[in-house]
Amino acid sequence: MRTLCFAMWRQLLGRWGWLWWGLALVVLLRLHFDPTLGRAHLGGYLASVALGPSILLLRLGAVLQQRRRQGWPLEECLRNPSAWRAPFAEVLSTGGLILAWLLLACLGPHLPGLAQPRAGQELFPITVPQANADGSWTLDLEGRCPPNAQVLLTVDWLQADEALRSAGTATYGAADGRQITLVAGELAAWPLLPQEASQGQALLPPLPEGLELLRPLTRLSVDSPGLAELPRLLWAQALFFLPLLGIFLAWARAGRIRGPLAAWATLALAGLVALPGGNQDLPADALGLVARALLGVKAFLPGVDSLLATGDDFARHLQATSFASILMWWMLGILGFAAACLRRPPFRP
Amino acid sequence: MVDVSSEVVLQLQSLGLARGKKRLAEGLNLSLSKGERALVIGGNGSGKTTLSWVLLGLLPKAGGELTRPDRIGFAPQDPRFPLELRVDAYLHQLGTLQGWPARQTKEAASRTMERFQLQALAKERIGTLSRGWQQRVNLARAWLGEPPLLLLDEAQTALDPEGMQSLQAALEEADAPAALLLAPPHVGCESLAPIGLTLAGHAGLPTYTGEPS
Repeated sequence: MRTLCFAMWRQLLGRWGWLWWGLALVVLLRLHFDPTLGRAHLGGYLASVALGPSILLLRLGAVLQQRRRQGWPLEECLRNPSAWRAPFAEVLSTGGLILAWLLLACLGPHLPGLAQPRAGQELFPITVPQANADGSWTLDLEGRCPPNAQVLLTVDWLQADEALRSAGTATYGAADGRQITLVAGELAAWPLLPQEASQGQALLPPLPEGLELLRPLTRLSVDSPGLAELPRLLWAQALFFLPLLGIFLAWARAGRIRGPLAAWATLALAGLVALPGGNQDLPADALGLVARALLGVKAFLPGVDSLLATGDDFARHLQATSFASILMWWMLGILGFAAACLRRPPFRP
Repeated sequence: MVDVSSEVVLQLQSLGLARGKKRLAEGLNLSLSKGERALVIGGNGSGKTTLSWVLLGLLPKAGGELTRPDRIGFAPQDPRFPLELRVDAYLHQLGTLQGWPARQTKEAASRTMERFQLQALAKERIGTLSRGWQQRVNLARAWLGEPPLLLLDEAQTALDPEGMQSLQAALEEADAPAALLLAPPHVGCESLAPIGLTLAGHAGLPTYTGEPS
């Protein structure tokens, strides 16, 4: 098996491939964490790092196609009737490279001379509609949020009565027991219930008499992880990408699809899975219909999108992914691998 | 005591061949024991390659009975190679694919390279070899690990006289496996093995059959 894995590595990377990957990592680190030029934002870095496994998957597709031309399928058929060794070597070698890349990406930002991403809170604007009849507001959070997310409220005290204004504080609470103290001149942080965060919809109770909510200034506040959280975030990427290898092999080997095409199809599926699902109103035009159709397909796939939380707003997509979803995602990968191991002639009979 | 030389390795009884809906041959009879060899002669499109696919278990047979060993060494008519690999590295990979441990793989590769005088070219990339030497690599990979049956499709292709001698010597080794050679008529393969089957091809089903001497 070691011989087969080394052979795959040589084909995947080429002679100087490791040098290019090292160079790419150095460029990424300078790009994101340069003390002068870099943004030192983990979301951007995670997005760049996620390109690595994607490129490796495309490379595997090209290598598989090259191996077809080299007559390997016939040799596999003749020499390994149970047909698992070659796919296993492909998964092992590519999976190993993905893990090595993520490990390097994890260690890279700790190098001296690089700016460190700061942990803290990130704010995202949310649209607050007109108040309901009872004075409450139904908030659309545009997708699921982390369970510790809060809604930051800016309250206008000018219309409050004299007593309230002179006190400068007011109690603001909901029937479910949540309660905070509003202080004049300060932002108020309203905690979300876990189910509100997971559903992406929240109900703000009516403000005390005389206080007015400045709706355009309402923000969603989520904790942004710092560098200490990077290993966990990259491990989540590994959990996301490794099953893709099985799915890819199912298409390329069991489905006899050309390697590069199967790799692009797998990445398209990954993109669909990683699409953050929102419950916002989609327009009724053609683009809206496409988006609806994609979200409809996504509904049948495991909800593992937060494993691949990347980009500027990655913090708000960092939800705890359920073990059941991860298990289902991995089961898809394992089933794909099993399908790829079924023996079949190297041509259509 | 069992006489090993009389072990039947390959047996075809009224075997039929078809490619899709097109029937290529019927009533093929042949029996090969360990150490025996036979030649299948047939013109273009007569079903030689189809016969080899059926014997390898890659195509279903169209009737009749077929007894074959689990492991067959196959040298295809149009060999394909990973041209960037060295000869020894390629044979090692094939052995690993078969599930052999490293030492066994190394020994098997060494023996098969010796058989076809490939040792001097062991570190050469396959792509840099001439067509004749690539054919020797093709034969070497079929012999790798001495399978009980060899299936050699137009094995003589591109071989020089020295290569033909190597092939003949390999076929005539004391503990040589059974070998079925496939070739078009009049290419001089009759010296390698007696004619066992003649595929009539399009001109007329069924085929002439004979017993290897």
